[in-house]
Amino acid sequence: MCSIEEEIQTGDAETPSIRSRRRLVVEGLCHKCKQSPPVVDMKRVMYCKTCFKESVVYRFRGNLMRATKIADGAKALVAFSGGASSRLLLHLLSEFHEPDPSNLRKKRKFSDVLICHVDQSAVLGGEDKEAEVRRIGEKSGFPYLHIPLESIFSNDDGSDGGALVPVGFDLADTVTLKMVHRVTSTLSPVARLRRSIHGLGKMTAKEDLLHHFTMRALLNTARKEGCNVLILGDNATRMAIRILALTSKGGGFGLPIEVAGDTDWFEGLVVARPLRDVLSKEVAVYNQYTDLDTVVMPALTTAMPAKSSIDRMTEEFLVGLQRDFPMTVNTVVRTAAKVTSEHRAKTVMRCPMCGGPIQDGTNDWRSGHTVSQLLSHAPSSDTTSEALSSTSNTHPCSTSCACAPTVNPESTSTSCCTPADQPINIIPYLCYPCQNICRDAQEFGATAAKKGIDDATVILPAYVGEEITMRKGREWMKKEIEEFLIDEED
Amino acid sequence: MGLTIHLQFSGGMELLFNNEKEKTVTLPDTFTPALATLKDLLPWMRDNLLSERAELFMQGDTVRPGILVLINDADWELEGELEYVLKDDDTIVFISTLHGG
Ligand SMILES: [Zn+2]
Ligand SMILES: [Zn+2]
Repeated sequence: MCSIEEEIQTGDAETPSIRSRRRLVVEGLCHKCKQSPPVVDMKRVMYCKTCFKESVVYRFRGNLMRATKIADGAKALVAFSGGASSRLLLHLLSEFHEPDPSNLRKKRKFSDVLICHVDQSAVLGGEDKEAEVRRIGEKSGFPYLHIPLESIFSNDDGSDGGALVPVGFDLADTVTLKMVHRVTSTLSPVARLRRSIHGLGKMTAKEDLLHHFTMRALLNTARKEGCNVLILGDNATRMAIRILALTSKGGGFGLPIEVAGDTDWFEGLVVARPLRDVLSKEVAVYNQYTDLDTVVMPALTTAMPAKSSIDRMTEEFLVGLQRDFPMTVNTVVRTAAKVTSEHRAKTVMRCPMCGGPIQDGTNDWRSGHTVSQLLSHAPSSDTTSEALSSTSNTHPCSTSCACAPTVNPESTSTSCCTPADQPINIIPYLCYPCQNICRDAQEFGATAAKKGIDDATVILPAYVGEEITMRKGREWMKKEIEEFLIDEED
Repeated sequence: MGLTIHLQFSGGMELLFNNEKEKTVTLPDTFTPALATLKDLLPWMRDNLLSERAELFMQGDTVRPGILVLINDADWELEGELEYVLKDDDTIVFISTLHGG
């Protein structure tokens, strides 16, 4: 499998063994076909144009065909940003989806392919580029869905889902972020989305939350459209950057899900990354040779110094290393692919914010590693709660329901109705990296409130609160019926 | 008569060069045909064409890591990189593969 390099070295040393003769390098010719002059150097292997393109297509198809979790005839949703990697993905998929002219009865891997473009312009700008992205997407012949990122603040039917707003901030207490669900809001979904991102201080936290929101929008759309597979354009370089960044942010527990070529972690949906072993350089070269047009979208850290976020810094570091050591990216991705965690264990919870697994004992670990003040301070600001009116404060259930206000907040809510509007500290319910996002929101909000700035408080989509309430309800119910349960393992 | 070179920018590189995706330049006489190399061209581009911050284009005497260079459609790593001797009518493409531009 990975012996190409060794064999090439054998060739260089001019002592070819019989075994490696087949792979022998001919000076000045493509290493593969040994007929045309080489034009691309990939990890010290030189290809001519035709062989290079073939090798990319081969890996792409191989990854899809090997993805055993994808059933034949599945309906696929392709994430398309307009950038180089997803542009190549779209191109390769439309070729892949073409009926085989030599065998018309051969079944296609996918029954249908839909394109989903998540429009992040409310946060990143670049509204003027949306038309161009659509034009390229529609050219592929697949149906094109334009999903504004702010849609994560709406219910599936498009109605207002309300939002979670903070209830005061406390600079001295960074392990608490008390939030409350408000059913209606005077803020538009766009304004809410902007507040979520701009209610954070550090660029790393902003990038992470934007990533989770985008993933959420893609998964929502895939489910709504009845798709079984979500195909992402992550290339090897991007994955290596993500692996290193995620690890340094304490997200190692969820790594197996991020690295997998296909994963069914996302209930009822397989997420596939068929470009996972194609380098970003290969993507750029392929697009250039095939005249694939791309749209340059602004990012949060566009034209910012490398140290502006962990992701950005990791990119600078990894890409620099890759230049001198061309196997770096592949080594990182392959090594990470060998990492296993207990994320499949029955006791592992899903994080309401990112959908990733929560490592058991995250809170114990946190309290052992952080200095937290237990002194309680008066809430310093409640401005956001005012901006979002709480007119629908009524409880549809009787007082006997767990979500009714008379019940002790610590044991609130089975999921019989919409989330109770009692403030809840959301931090203990999140995975470690998401806890850090909230700590950032808390710090940033508290500092802003101190300066008298009102609109610097974070807002979160209602689903975060709903999922916490559901979990609290399940835990409450489990406690109630625990003594009647028979342990299967007994 | 100086060397004529066709330059192309994509993947976000164009943002550093006045948002132009293509530009044909005639190099001054200081570029001696059959002698001038890419090593001479890069600083000239930086000083004469670049509209944005130089550190996003160059690092030391070469391009910043993550910027792909193709010379007449071939990977510059196969063409001697900085030592490549410029020829009249060459097409040189600069593609950024970086995310945060
Ligand atoms: Zn070849
Ligand atoms: Zn999380």
